[in-house]
Amino acid sequence: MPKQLQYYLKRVLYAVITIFLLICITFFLMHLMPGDPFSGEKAVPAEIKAALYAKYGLDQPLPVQFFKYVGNVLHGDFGVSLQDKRPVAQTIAEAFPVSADLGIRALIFATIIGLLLGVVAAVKRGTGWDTGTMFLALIGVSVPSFILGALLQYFLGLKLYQATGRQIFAVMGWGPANSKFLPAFALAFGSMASISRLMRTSMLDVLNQDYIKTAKAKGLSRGEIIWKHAVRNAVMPVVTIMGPLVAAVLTGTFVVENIFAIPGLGKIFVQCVQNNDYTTIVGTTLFYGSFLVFANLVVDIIYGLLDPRIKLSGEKE
Amino acid sequence: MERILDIKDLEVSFDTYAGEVHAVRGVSLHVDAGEALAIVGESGCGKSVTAQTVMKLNPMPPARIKNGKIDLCGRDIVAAGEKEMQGIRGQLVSMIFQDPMTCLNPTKKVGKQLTETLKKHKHLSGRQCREEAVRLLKMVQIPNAEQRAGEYPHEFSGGMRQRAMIAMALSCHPKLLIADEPTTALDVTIQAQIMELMQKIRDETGTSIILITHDLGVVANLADRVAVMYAGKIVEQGSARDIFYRAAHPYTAALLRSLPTVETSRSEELVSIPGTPPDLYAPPAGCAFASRCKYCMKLCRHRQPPEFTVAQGHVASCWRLHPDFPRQKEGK
Amino acid sequence: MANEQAQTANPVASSPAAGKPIDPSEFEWVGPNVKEMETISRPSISFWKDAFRRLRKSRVAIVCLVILALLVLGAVFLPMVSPFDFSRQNVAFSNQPPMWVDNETSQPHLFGTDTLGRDIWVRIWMGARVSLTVAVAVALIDCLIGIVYGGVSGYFGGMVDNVMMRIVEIISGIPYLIIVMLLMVVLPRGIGTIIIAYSITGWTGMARLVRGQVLALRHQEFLIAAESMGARPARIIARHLAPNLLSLIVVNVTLDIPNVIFTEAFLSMLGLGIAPPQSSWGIMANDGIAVFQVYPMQLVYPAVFISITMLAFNLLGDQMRDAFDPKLRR
Repeated sequence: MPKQLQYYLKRVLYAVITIFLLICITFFLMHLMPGDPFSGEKAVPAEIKAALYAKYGLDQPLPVQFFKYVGNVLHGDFGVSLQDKRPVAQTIAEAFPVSADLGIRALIFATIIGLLLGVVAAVKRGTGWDTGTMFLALIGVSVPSFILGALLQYFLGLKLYQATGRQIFAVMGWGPANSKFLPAFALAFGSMASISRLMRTSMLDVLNQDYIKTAKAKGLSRGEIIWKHAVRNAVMPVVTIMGPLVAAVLTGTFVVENIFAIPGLGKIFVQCVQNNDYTTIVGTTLFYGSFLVFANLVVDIIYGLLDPRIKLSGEKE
Repeated sequence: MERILDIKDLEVSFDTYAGEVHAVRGVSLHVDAGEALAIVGESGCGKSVTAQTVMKLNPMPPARIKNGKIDLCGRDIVAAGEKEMQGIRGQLVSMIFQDPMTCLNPTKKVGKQLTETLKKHKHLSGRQCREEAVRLLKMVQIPNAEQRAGEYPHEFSGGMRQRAMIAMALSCHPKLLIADEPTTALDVTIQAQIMELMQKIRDETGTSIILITHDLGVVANLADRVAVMYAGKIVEQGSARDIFYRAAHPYTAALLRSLPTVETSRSEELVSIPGTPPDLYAPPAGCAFASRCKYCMKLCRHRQPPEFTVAQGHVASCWRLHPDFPRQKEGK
Repeated sequence: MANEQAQTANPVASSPAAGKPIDPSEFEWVGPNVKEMETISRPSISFWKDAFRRLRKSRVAIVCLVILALLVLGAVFLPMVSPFDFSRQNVAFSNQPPMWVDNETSQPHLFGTDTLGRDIWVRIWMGARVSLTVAVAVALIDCLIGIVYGGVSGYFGGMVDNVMMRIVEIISGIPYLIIVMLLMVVLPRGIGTIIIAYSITGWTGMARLVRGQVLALRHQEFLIAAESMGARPARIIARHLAPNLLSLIVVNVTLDIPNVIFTEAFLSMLGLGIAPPQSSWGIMANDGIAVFQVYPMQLVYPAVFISITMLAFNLLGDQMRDAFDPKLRR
């Protein structure tokens, strides 16, 4: 099926170009930043400085530096943190799994609950279910995750503890089972709201289509029509926002990890931004950017699998 | 002859924000086994609503059956609940719609869609369903049936899609097939093919057919009987020959006149009926066709004509058929 | 054949209703009355009037507009009439509850004071100025760039469109928040920077929408008709495309603003936004979170304002979208 292959290849190509652009941007920005990367609080001895300069080619003309930089990046060498002098790559490798754990929980929760709420709201349109779920969704879209996080900490963490004497939901840290719920929920709520709103609109659209009339004329029950015909078609527009949603969850970790004192990559990123730890900033940015590009690619591929019309046109509707 | 469908005095209204739309204002018709009945009329005359009410496809708010009886093979449709209707739809009576492009689920394979009802009601296995899907596609003369069953709707042409719809409608051998403007969205040559197919099916399986259309030309070959609808009522009903050769209602006559034939010369003007159908929010007190009828009389404007028998099996609702109608004063 | 006149075979009055005797004069011929038929029973309304009528009827939309109007008025006037300056500190009386009377001016702090003794009420409204200014400015700039870019791309089509859209795809492939944060690091902090940073990546959504609409409308018959009557491209754009696009643009801008408010709050939370002693809702939220467990109200005030503003814009945008949707036309 050449057309379908065409679609996938195009997506991969864009991903590669975007990542390359990202590398260029980060390189460019790094050289915009005041001072040179190795001036910090501590003075670096001359020989070591010279060695580092040679390694990163800082005494070479810009294009050469660029190639060295790209080469380093592709080898996984993101440089060394100005703050604690550890390789950035190592810092990322330690912190990312924590954020990934948090993020995946949040995404799964958001997707499943969001889709369900959207279907319920559409099917029971105009009733209390509809208004209720959509009101909830509106709150989710309007209340920023950090505010929600703080509120959750206060009411479900502190107050509940004061009321019952048991720490049902941990307020800080990451590890024990009860510590994962609040941050994941705070992270997920906004995305869940977006998904449910979009799913509702999409379902309403689909339920007006002629093939639903056909399904009814065939004698299928309401439940069968909804779950075997409508949902499959309604899900597709939701899949297209999964890319931006992953990005939203990712940036959400910046704040949530801060509030809940979770040792994830988001917390590290924020810290290094506040401390002007340029190499870490750049390294983490590159990592995040590439990750998101990759996630978008995965979403595009999933969409291609779901929509049989891609086979024909080689392009999304 | 077994009577498959019997509708008596059906009245259906829609409750909208702007008031009540009297879509169907007292329709009585019937279909016998193996018969093909054509319901003909302009857009908005209520023919689709009538058909969809037989299967209770209209969402019941805002639609409302105000009055009337619908008897389908002994089942009381008006009183039937939703669960009962689910057993009737697809099994006793099936429907195919106007636009085959949008009537098939784009994300489901055609073969699966064809046998969905079969799977549900007859509990066939996966393999049996596949075989049945191929057999159905062959029955409606789609070439390469085995391959086609595994394809998606967008890979079919318009005519093929309509054939697939017909196959889908017949999968459970219903007694009655309702075709709502099946050829309106298709090319003329494909139209002829589809009509031929429907005839073949009627002859081979004995399924009764209700053909709904605004195009009298399509009706000629297939229909045994014809009902002409206008503004929510049936104005004339009879055999195909009655309607084509002995039309008794002015509206029917006007419709026939407006059809260009092979013999129409190029210099002749096309005849149309001046005016538009009445607004069904406020249906007129008299005959709905009165203001467009060249035979209109004083009586027509304020009293609705009842059904008059013109001949055996041929009725029409026109005051000119009243025994007291003064034949000499045929005004122009 | 089919052209024979309607015949009247020998009829028999079959139904009982006909049994009622009919006065012979009733059979007097009067003929058709087509004029009466042609009066359309319902007046038709123009698209705009219908849309605005729907909007005015929607109580939700009215409430949102009122809220937003009050916010704007408050932001403009309230700091002017307040006895306190937003940066005035009085550390001796920090963290005071609402309505605490200040010792120097004998005026009440309507919302109390924060950790540095600053009046929260005034800071909220100064923050409103910042948030609303940034939001509207960014939304409008994105709007402009998006419209022009999308309009050009869609109008000219072909290769131009292809290239321009590829660029958009690549830019939107890069997560905007990361770019924004990077820019905030490199450039000096302040309102202008936030505006620039967000504008650089935020226009892609609008560009895509506008381009989609222009492409679709470009090929519609009424445009071809206008062109064939000799209208020049500029005129075509102004009179035909604009009304259709306008509703889309308005709705999009309204729904975009909450995102900007969120971004500003988010950045300030991370210490990347406005520099103190300037006040923005994001900064106040950040400060509030630090002392939340002890003085919850200090978070509640900015949180409520942020949420209500975003809610109002979201709801208004939703209502407007419904109002402008031709499928829901009455």
